[in-house]
Amino acid sequence: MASVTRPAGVSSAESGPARAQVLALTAVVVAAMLLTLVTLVNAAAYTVVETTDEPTPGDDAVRYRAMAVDGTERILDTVNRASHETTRSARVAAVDGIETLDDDLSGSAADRGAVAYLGSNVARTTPGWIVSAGSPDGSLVNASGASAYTLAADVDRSRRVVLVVDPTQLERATRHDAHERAFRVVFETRTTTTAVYVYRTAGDVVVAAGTDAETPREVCAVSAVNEHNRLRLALSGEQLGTVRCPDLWPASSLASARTYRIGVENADAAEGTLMAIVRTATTPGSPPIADHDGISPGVYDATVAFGYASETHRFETTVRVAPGEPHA
Amino acid sequence: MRESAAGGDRAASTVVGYVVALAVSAFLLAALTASLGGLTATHTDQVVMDQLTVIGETTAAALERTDRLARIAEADRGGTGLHPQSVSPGVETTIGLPRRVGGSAYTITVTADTIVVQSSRPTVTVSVAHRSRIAVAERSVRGGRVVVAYRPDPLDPTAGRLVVGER
Repeated sequence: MASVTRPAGVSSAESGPARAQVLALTAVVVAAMLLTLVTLVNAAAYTVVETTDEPTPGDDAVRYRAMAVDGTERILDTVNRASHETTRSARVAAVDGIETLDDDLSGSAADRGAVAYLGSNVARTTPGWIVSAGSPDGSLVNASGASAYTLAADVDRSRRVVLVVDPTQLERATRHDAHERAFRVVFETRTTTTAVYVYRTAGDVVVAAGTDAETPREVCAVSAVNEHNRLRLALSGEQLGTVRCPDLWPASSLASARTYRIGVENADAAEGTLMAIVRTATTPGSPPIADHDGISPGVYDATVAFGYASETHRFETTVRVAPGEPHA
Repeated sequence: MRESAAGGDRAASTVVGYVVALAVSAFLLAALTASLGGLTATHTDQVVMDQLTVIGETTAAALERTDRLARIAEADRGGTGLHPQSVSPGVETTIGLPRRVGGSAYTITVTADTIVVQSSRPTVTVSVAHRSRIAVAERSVRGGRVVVAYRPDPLDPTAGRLVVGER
């Protein structure tokens, strides 16, 4: 170790602070080096974790598909609520709505750094017919006074089959005399006839179902005492008010049938409205055969092409949208 | 080295002080690096195994995600009522994996129910199970950007396959 003689003019008292400065500086240098080392090691570890991480799951693709389907369902419902001269004009309105929805979806996806598209055309929509029975005074008897008539025949598919009744006006019946007394909706194929009965007991509104003329089984019931307003029975949705009615819809018999007829019997045993949206089998553009005047053109379904692409995902699918359609 | 008769007039120069400090720092740093290096070498196998496990699980997650999306697309295709050939679902998932692990390349082998990730140096193999319901084509790929794609059958919606490839 080299050393030099202190210059004559420098005292030991003056060299003390200089040494302290050197030591302090050394401490700072060592601390900086250690800090750099620790930072580098942590950065390396973070890089390994970062490169193996997958931050974008495929849930966005599913979410956007659900938005596309829900939006198309709303468009079809809106189009069918409006009045249309022909099924063609209803279908054009549906496609226009889908194009607007496409703009909304693609804009939303672009904000998230992705691409989403939705497309359809008139050829990919199916003519539908909105059939409804029930006069303004609440009677479900048809215009010619018949209490048993055809709501729609030559039906290929049906959806949103809904009965809205005044619970206080329902005929009182039991499971055993329901066939003679209760209001019922019948689904008639070439081989089977299935009926859904709606009647009132001492305290409940009961929904029962059965094939042909056999004693029906009770499917679901609600307390009539609590129903001051209209009661909604979704036949295809299998729900009475808020109560589930499992296996109410005759899925198996309708699935195997090429066409079927929807009819009403004992129409004078209830007051309200019965509605359905149907697709006819023989000529989809022609209205179904019916014994009432409540038929208007609409759209039965729309088939849409949906796509979603992001940095990590590509998802392309084609969906047929028919809101409220049961599985058969 | 000389000392004056008074014995108190010697002093180290500032430059020497700096040199000494830097030498001590360098020594400490070298010692620290050497000890850390030894520690790293000791744990290399474990670290590589952990990384391969993460890679296997990431690949399995991508496979299962693609499987889920493909099943949704096939259910949609069946619901259209159109001829299967007129509708072609498309599903792809891309994942960014490290190209090298522990300084060396590695391979990912996908089988019907397992993902095997293998590095050559050190020789470490990790297996991760996956639960894809759609059939998976057996294939090996290198690390890096990996794509899991669904290849639908034009006629049979149940006969599609998941294929793993490099991008």
